[in-house]
This record gives sequence, structure tokens and C-alpha cells, in this order.
Amino acid sequence: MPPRLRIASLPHHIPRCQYEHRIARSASSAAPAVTPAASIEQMTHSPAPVSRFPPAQPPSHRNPEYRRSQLLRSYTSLIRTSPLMVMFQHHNLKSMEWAAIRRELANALKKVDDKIAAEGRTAPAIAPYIKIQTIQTSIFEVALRIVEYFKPNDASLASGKAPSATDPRTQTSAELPAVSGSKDDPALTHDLSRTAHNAVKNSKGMHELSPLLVGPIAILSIPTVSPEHMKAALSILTPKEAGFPAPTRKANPDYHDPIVQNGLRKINLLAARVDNQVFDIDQTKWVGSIEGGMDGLRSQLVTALQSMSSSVATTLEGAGKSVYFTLESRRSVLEEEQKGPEGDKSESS
Amino acid sequence: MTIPISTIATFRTAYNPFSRAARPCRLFLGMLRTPDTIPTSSPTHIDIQVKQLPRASTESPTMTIGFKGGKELTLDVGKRGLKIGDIVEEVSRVGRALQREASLKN
Repeated sequence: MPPRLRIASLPHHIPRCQYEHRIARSASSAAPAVTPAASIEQMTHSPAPVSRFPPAQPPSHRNPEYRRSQLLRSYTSLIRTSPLMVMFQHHNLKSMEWAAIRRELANALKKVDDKIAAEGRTAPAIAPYIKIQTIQTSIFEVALRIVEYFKPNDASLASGKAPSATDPRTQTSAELPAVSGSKDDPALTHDLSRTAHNAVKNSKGMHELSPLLVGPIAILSIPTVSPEHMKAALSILTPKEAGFPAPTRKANPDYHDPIVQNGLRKINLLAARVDNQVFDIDQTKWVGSIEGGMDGLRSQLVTALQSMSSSVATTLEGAGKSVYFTLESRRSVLEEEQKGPEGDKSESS
Repeated sequence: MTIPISTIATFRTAYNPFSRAARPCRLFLGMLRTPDTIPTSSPTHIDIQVKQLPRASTESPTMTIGFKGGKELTLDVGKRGLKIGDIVEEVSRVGRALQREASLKN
């Protein structure tokens, strides 16, 4: 129950008119509240100009509320962040089959991570980040073209940025480049912008991968170029096509579960994309067959270079040696010739 | 138009996935690979063999459909410029004829 106010406790001087009362109240309420003095920065600098849209929500050509726009954003991000992608064709897999295949894949990749850790290499554990996902091919194709063909230059990127409010050089009168809030503004260069759309509009179907993006496609994305993880994944998903032996029934009985096997019969390996290059099945096999991951490749390169350098050294030495031997033999011949007549002279005299 | 899947026994196809002509082969593969046709224990099991050609190959995509009863239908998809609708039409025409024969025999 709220406390009741007794009338007797009210102030005795009841104002004669309302006007007087209002003045009195405002005066009493304003008195304790002291407005802090403006800081020196506030007095010498005026606030930076205010953008007309939130920095995280620039005006965009494609409506950001649609699922397809957000899919496009997620695909561009996926393509940018996974240098190694393997594409599969999948047909009518049931959700149980997908779940079983993903489970097997995760187990196999975990083993690779453990092996790398046991060998004491410094490669980070990436197994939890390797995902297989089905994609919307038409949106993925647009995302591919945006990532590869749309390169906003630095000037337009810089002009799209709002001037810094904390920078003392920023004038109050500084104009925000994208302050117009219009979708047509060329300074907007995010993936959903009209600039990006116009830049890739005419390259429809021109990407190398676009003929592949037909029918249901799944993508295995690996965040680093790790041939070992790829090999492990391919030995689970497409052992026959990739030529990597699948785990035996004894080593991994779960893999030979009919659910997994029926699912795997509906998956085909199509191609791989390694560091922006498209590889077909044979080249994918080659990438997977690199032993020891990137470190192994580097050591192979080092040995190749070393053997080459030693062979170069022997070749160059060989030329010098042959010149030396020729000159030596010539000298010995000349010495004999010089000796010869002198010896004759000494004999005759 | 649906394909009489129960009349098909085997399916062989060879294509280069990087060529646009391979599109009907890949789409038709998706029609045949269903949860009913994949398990070997299923009565409508189809033996599917896919050969993917290397990227540089210019061989035209082909497919061979073996029906139950030994009849074989070979379609040169690339040379004839077939589309997925044409393939479905041809295969289902043969399949329906076989179905009709079987029903008349019984």
C-alpha cells in the first residue's frame, strides 16, 4: 500500500495563483542542477558531421531483409575466408544421411588434427572450422563474381569512410561522402551495394566455376590450404573418385553403416578451388597427395632447390675444371717444347 | 512427366563437368539417384556408374540407360544437343513401352 500523504503536512503557503506557483517550482528544481561547463574540446571544436545511416547498415541495392541477400553476404564471406574449397554434387540425401556423414567427417578431421599435434608441428587445429554445406547455386555464382571481379579501388574505399570525429582536422563543415543516403552512391562498396551489382552485372556465367554450379551442390570449406585435411575429408566423402582409401571396416565400423554408405553413393566429387584457382578431379587428387601438408611441400621445395644448387655448382665447377685441365696440359706441353730445344742445344754444345 | 524408374536397371554416364553440355547428364543423375534406387537391397535398385572426364577433355557427354529385360538406350547428349526434358521424354517413352509389355504378358 503506498504511503498516504496527510494534508496537514503540505506547505502552508499555498500560492495565490497558478503562475506564481509555476515560477516557484521551476526555480526550486533548477537550483540544485548545475550544468557542467563545456569542455575545452567542445568549445574549440564543433562535433563532427553526423552520418545519415548507421555504419553497420549502409543503403544497399539488394534488400538486406531478404534471405537471399543475407545468403549472398554469407557466401562472399565464405569464399573470402576459405582458400581451399571442394565442391560436391549431391542428390536426394536424407537428413539422417547428412548427419551421419558430417559425424564421420568430423571424426576423421579430428584425427588429422591430433596427428599434426602429435608430430609437433605448429599448424593450428582447424577441424572444428571445416564444414560441408549445401549451397544455393545461383546466389553462390553471384558471390563468386563479386569476390573475384569486383575490386573497389582504395580511393573509393577511402571516400566511403566517414571522417573521424576525433581527428582535430575534421571540420564541422566536412561533408560526408555517402551522406546522401542514396543507393546510387559510388562510394558504397559493400557486397550488397549497387556498385558491386553493376560491376558484376555483365559477367553472368563467365566465371570458371559457373558451368559447374548446376543442380544440387555442396561445398566443403577449409579455412587454410591444408592438403592433409582435404585428403582426410575426401577419403571419407569420395574415396573411390579421389583415390584415397576409405577407413577399413575394422578401423571405423561406423563408417560402414548403411546410412553413411547409402548417403555417400549419392555424392560425387566435382572440383576444388585452391587459392582462387579451379582444379579438376585429377588436380584435386594431386593436391591431396601432398604429404605432410604445407610444411611437407616446403621441405620438398627446399630439397629440390638444394639438389638443384649442388648440381649447378658441379656444372659450373666442371667448366672451370675443364679449363684448368686444358690450360695445365697446354702448359706442360709448352714446357716440354721449351725444354726440348734447350736440351738439344746443351747436347750439341 | 515422370520416369518409370522401376524399369531401369543400370545407368552409365561419362561427362566433363566443366562443359555446359554435361548439364542434362548431371540433372538426370539427380532424378535417378533417390533413396529408393540407391540401396542394393531395394527392388528398384539402379546400378549407377559415373565417369567424370578431366577438365580439358572435349569428349561429348554420353549416357547409357539399361532397362530391365536387357534393352539398352544410348544417348549422345552432346552431339544431339539434348536437354533434360528431351532425355526424360525419350527414356520414359521406352520405359512406358516396357511397362506396357510386361502388363500385357501378365
